[in-house]
Amino acid sequence: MRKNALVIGTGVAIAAALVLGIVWLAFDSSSISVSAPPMADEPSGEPAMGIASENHGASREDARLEANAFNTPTGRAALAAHAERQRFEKALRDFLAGSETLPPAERARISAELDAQVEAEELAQRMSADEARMLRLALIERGSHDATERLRRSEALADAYRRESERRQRAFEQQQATDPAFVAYKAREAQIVAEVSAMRAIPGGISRDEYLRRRLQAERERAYAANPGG
Amino acid sequence: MAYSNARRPVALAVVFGLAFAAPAAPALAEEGDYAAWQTALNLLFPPGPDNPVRASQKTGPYPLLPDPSSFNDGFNPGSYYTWQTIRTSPSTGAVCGNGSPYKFFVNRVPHTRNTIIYMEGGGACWDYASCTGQTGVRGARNPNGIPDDYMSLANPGASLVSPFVTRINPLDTAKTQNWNMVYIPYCTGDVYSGDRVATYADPSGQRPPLVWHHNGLRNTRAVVAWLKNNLPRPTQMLSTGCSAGGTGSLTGYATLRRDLAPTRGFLINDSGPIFPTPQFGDSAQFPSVRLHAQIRDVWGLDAGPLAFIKAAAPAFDLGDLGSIYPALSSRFPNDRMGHTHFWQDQNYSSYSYERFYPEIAGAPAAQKPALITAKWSQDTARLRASLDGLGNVGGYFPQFRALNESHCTTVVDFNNGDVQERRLELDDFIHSVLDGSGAVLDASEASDIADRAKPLNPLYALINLIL
Repeated sequence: MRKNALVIGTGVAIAAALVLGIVWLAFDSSSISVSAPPMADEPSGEPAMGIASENHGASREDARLEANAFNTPTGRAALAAHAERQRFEKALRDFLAGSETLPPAERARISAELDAQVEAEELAQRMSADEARMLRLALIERGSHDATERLRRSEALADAYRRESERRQRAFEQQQATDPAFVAYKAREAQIVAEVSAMRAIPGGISRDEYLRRRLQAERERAYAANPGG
Repeated sequence: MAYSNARRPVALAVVFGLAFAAPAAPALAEEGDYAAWQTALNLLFPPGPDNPVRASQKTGPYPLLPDPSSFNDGFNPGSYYTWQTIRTSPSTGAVCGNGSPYKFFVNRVPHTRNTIIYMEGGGACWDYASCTGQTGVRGARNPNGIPDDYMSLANPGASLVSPFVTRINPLDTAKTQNWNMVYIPYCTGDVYSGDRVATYADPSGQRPPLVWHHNGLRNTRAVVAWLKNNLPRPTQMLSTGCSAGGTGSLTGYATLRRDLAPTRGFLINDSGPIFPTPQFGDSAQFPSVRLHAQIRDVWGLDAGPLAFIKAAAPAFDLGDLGSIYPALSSRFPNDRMGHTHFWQDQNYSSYSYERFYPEIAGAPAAQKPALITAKWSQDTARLRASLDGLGNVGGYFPQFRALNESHCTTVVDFNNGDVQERRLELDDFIHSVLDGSGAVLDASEASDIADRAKPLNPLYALINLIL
């Protein structure tokens, strides 16, 4: 219930801010200039190419388009997602830093809530498995007074991560073994190595090693062009 | 770059909204951070590249070869905080050791240009046994290539995640946790430095020869080309990694720094030393000479990679790989750099000596650590003395940590890399590199007694169990 209220409140605040900003567009204001930091070792010779999507010489029309973009479902979702991420990080940091001041029941509750959020962030690939595992171990450590229980849960968690990693690794190796581009390349790789090893002279005035490297790269380019999904 | 005045109201409106929506947003005051209104705009209009690959950089030795425009690298510029898998086209020259496509990972944020380039550790290989991952031989990470969902795998080896590449860490904070992150995985067994397709025969004769691409240098170049063509130029850039990743950060720094051109550059080599060693030195005096001779040969270092480093850091002496530290120091006098490892490291040291010295390889297991440590200490003492003479390159050498064979000071946490006699923590060294001024901190610990007397660390015990 509290969470729903917070979400609604946040939405209202963002909407109000956007309206204020769009109204403000009617007024001119003095220019703001933000410079890119200098390069310590400025490359000499050719000038660097232009900035692709930073706000270079943006027009008033561009600004209106941007304002509209913030007022779309995508724009609102991006802002809300960013705000939510900031809130999550702060809640996690605060708990890890100050959990010992909380009553045991409160510690256990918050620990469980944060654990679920960490897991969700991991599933969304916003956290690596290693980072998530370390955090979840820390949450177990902070969330329970019972040393035996902590050890049991920690070992279970570590074991679950190990099994999941092994499963993913096996799946990758199975996929690679049937990847048509990789299979095609590997079949040619050994042939090319044998062929180059047997050559009496290497064309192009390059070393045998470099010639072999180029031949194999060309073969990979061929294999993956012929099997673009590989 | 100029920013149109017409955008200010929108930006301020968005900031106003965020002020309600995100009371927890961290204060952003680092050089290279965007203003709050720019951050908000970046959410919908992700900043693009402003230092793309130039025509002249696409030719010559180890050129920067971007993907063809038709190639789908998988990147979504507006997908912030997400670990994105970036695929490389074969035409970039990138490839894993087994011939499979090379990939790397990017996690960008909307609020800063600053970027950490993290190179994964994971051993090394130079023959059939080590490159095939044979049991009982120290080998190299990812012999079968890189899965697309690699960041969703908690590999035993990768469980030693560094606080440098986590956004939220229960144990340590580092300013890089707020930066754009580039995670460069390791699959070539050559500390990101080689350029040779090796053919290793099976000593037993039972299996066909192994064709192995020691292609680390070209992979790194493909990453640099992609970064230049897809992300803003970093204002601050930290290049770091542990073990093989530390070595790769060191050997790649001169060209990475030259081509990405950050305003401020930082380097931290964690436990990937390249010891000062004359190419034809006496192994009794320079214990790493045999390792260096081996890798120069099988990784093709003399056929191009070393000259490529020298072109970017002219003081690099091709006859002494360890001269890379003073070469970087003189080439980038305003950059802040550091090297750190434990005196009691039993991992990188084992790679360095065990298979090159029959008296160690054949020794009983219980005697090996002392034999290895004797040579490691000899090399470390020389490196320490060398770094002491370099103002902008610090050397930090604690003794022992009850984790991962005392290998890598910056993984899991920044604790227990202390130098008790000077009341220093590893954090002091990291801050000296990243935030300090004047000479970078040098420190070394004389005794491991206090380290070994520490009580059992339950987290380390659990991680050692996982490993």
